[in-house]
Order: sequence, then C-alpha cells, then structure tokens
Amino acid sequence: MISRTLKNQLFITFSRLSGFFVLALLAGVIGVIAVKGMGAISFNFIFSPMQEGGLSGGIIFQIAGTIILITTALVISLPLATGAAIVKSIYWKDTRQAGAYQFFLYVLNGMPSILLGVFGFFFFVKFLGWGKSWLTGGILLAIMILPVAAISIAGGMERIPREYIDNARALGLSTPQIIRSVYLPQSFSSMLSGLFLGLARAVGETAPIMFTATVFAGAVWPDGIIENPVLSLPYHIFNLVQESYDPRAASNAWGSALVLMVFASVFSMLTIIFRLSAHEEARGS
Amino acid sequence: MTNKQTLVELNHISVTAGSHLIVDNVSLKIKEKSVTSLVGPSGAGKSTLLRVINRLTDREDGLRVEGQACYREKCIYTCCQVEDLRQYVGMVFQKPCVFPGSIERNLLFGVRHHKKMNASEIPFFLEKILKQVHLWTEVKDRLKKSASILSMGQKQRLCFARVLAVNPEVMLLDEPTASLDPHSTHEIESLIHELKQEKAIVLVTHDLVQVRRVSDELIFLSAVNGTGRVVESGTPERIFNRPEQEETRHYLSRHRIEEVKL
Ligand SMILES: Nc1ncnc2c1ncn2[C@@H]1O[C@H](COP(=O)(O)OP(=O)(O)OP(=O)(O)O)[C@@H](O)[C@H]1O
Ligand SMILES: [Mg+2]
Repeated sequence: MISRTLKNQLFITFSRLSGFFVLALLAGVIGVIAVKGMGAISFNFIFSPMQEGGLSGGIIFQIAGTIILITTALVISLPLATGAAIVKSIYWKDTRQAGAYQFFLYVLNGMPSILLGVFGFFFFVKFLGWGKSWLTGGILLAIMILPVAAISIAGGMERIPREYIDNARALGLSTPQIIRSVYLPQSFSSMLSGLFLGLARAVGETAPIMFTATVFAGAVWPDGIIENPVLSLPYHIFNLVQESYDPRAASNAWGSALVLMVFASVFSMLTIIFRLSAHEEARGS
Repeated sequence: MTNKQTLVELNHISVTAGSHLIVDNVSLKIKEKSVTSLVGPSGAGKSTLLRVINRLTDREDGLRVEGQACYREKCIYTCCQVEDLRQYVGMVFQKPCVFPGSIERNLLFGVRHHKKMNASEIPFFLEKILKQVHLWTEVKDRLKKSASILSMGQKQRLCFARVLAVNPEVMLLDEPTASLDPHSTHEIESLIHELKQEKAIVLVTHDLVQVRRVSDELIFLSAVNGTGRVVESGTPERIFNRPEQEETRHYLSRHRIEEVKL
C-alpha cells in the first residue's frame, strides 16, 4: 500500500518530468533547425531561385509557391468555415443536427492528409483533368483548415452572451442582419485564430499537395489553372532530404526547414494573439 | 380611462417548456398611453410574458406558446412579419447592453435596418432621440466614442434611445431599473412618465414603490409550483389598499406595503 502523500508526490514528479520533457523536445527541435538552418540562410538564399536541382541557389519560388497555396487555402476556407459555423451555431443552435455536424467536423479534422491527396489526385488531377495545379493544392489545404477554423468560429459565436442577441432581435433585426451586425463582428478574433491555427498546420503539409499541386523543379509563377503547379517549401525539403548524402543538399534542406518553421511559428503566434482577444471580444469589450 | 384603445391583448396564453407549465392561462390587455405593471414573485413568468408579446419566444428551444396574442386586434403570428412586430413593440432589458462600437452605432443599431436615412438627417435624428432620453448634453461631444465608457444609468438611457429610434407604439420594460442606482432609477422613471404620453408601456418590476409612482394598471401574478397565473388586476391604489386575493395580501405584506399605501 503506497501512502497518499507518496502517490501525490509521484504524480507531481511525473507531471513535472512530462512537462519538462515536452519543453525539452520542442526546444531541441527548434534549436537544431535554427542552428543548422542559420548556416544556410542568406539574402541570396531567400531571394534567388534554386540552381543545380537545389544544391545551390535559393528558394524564392518555393516561398512564393507556399504563399500562393496558403493564401488560396485561406481565401477558400474563410467563407466556408464561417458558413459552416453559422449553420452549426445559429441556424441549428441546440439541435441534434448541430451535434452531428460537430462530430462530422471532428472526423474531417482527423482525416489523414494523405487521403486528401489521394482524393485530390483522382478528382482534380485525373477526373477534372486539371493536372497539377496550385488551385487544387489551395482547395485541399482549405479542406484541411476548414474543420479547425469552423469549430473555432462556432465557439466564438456561441460565447457571445445571449443579451446581445436578444437586444438585436428585439430591435427588429432579422437573423441575417444579426449575423452581420453581431455574430460576425463579435467572433472576428475567433475566426482569425481558427484560420491561423489551421494554417500553421497546413503550411507544412506535403501529402495533400505532392501529387496534386507541387513539383520539385520547373515551375515559376502560375499563369492559369490547368497544368500550373507551383514549387513549395515542404516538397522542396522532402526532396532535398532524400539527396542529403550531398552536404550542400542537406544544408539547403535545413535552411528551407527554418524558413518553413518561421511561417508555422508566425501563424501559431497569431493564433494565440487572436485567441486571447477572442474572449474579450465576445463580451463586447 | 376606459376609452383608451387596447394595443395588445393576450387571451388564455399558456407557455410550457417541456413538461413545465411556466405560464397558465393568462389574459390581459395593454392600453395606449398608459403604464401597465406586471408584478409578482420571481419565476411567475413575467419576463416570459413580455417575450411572448414581441415573439422573442419564437426560436427558443422547447418553449411552446398556446392561446391568442393580438396586436391591434390582429394575431401577432399572422398580422405581420416578426421583424415588423418588433418595430411596433420594442423592449428594454434589465441589464443595459450596449453593442461594441460608438454611441452613434448603438443609436442607429436597429433603425438603420428599418428606415432609409440620408447622411445629412442623421445628426438631427440623433439629437432628437438623445434629447428625448435626456442624454444629449452628456454625450453630444462624444457620439463617435465607444459606448462602453458610459455609466450604467447612461447606458440604460442609451438602450431606451436605441429602442425609441425605431419608434415603437408599445414598449416592454423588463426590470429596467433593477441594476441602477436611485438617481438613475429616478431618471428612468421620469422618462417612463414622459413616454406614456404617446406610448403603451408594460413594466415588469419588483419595486412596488416604483409601481405606485409610475403605473396606471397593475397586474399581479403568482407563482405556485413554478407556474405563473394572474391573481388580480386593477389600479395600483385599489390593489395596494384593498387587495381582493389572499395571495396578493400575502405578497404585499412581505414587501413593506406601508411605504406604498396611499
Ligand atoms: N426557454 C426556457 N426554457 C425553459 N424554462 C424557461 C425558459 N424561459 C423561462 N423558463 C422558466 O420559466 C419560469 C419563469 O421565468 P421568467 O424569467 O419568466 O420569470 P420572472 O417572473 O421574470 O422571474 P424574475 O422576477 O426572477 O425575473 C422560470 O422557472 C424559468 O426557469
Ligand atoms: Mg424576469
């Protein structure tokens, strides 16, 4: 029989160790990428196109491609996620459908990203005949972001105190008018925090885009939709690591990884900032 | 008194939530140019009755409203769009609730959806309704500033102004002074006095002294086992001095009736 205090002590020690381990892991990963990556980073590396299959030159078009992909994803997922949240937390408020919808969003969120890639390949690349296209990548990443963003926006809308809704209804506003003047402005931060949380994850995804939207070399700016792939950071890293017996490839892979990490970290930070303000915003202060 | 027109009439209204009977068979009339007070213990369904009148109960889950409710002799469910009904029947709540944004945004919050106004009319309009609630001198220099910095009493007057901007004929007031200090309460009461010159007012309050001060009609509700019923109604003088029902007498005796007797 272990005494209660000993049990508590063990539990506390274990929690501390786990906490420390998680921090150490994070610091280790970031530290290694930062240290190794810094060696490759220079003005030229960021701002010039790659040469010799990535062994030299820079990653400007990988950065541009990644920005194109995530911007497209953002533009597509913003209205969809907002619409989904409106349906779930306003029109289906407190109904069984809302619960089912929530479940559906969680399932979508848990879907392995490779499956999105497979779906995208057969539907967009083959069936619609788009070939590899930045738009397919944007759409697939948008689907990845969608559930996280929708759940976050719905949460923001559900946190708005009932008095605001009652007052707006009592003033004779219709539901669409209330959506525009209460729900949307008072869940704006939740909207941004959800989108950035999704983006932080989507920006580094390789699986959904590798057969559908991105190539390793030979793409610059897209000038249409069909057969218009882009370069991208995750796919670039994926390929360079496979060549990394060559120290130049390894170094550039670390450099690209650092740039990608900066993207993801910025999105994560934006998520936190908007999440903090989301709680005040619902209350209208 | 009797030749005043009835604006709102409830006939045998019952409200149930699941198996809970909240309001049982309530009938009442709201007349123009008068203040009708609903008084009774907590849980008597006073707020619920107000919410029936402007159909705020509509989309509330599990609430069922039975009976007949009329506005100007037409059923509130068929006379007009619900948004129109709420323009004719405005409501002010217990807790002043200002929307994020400026005082001006708050004042125009409802009316801008109902009435086209030129940009040039707006300043005159704002001045008119702010003067109506005696808030003009206090806020005239900061209409573009956030409404959240106002005091509670000012916020509540802003809420009145926001409703008055829509120009309703009936105003439902659900404990409008319950969260205010005595001075602000007094200001709201004088406002109610002025408003009743042209509007029908339904006032829910726990303050019998207030009833005595502002109302023309008093409807007393009881709450037995969580169900609200009308016990008696009449002028406040009559009910305070000569209550007919035991329940009324009992309630009044617990609420320091001495102060409110004539
Ligand atoms: N949407 C709802 N669903 C279930 N029950 C409700 C709902 N709205 C009100 N009730 C119940 O109806 C009863 C009456 O509530 P109501 O708010 O109308 O009382 P009240 O007379 O205004 O009380 P108070 O003086 O405390 O404000 C309460 O028991 C409340 O729990
Ligand atoms: Mg109430």
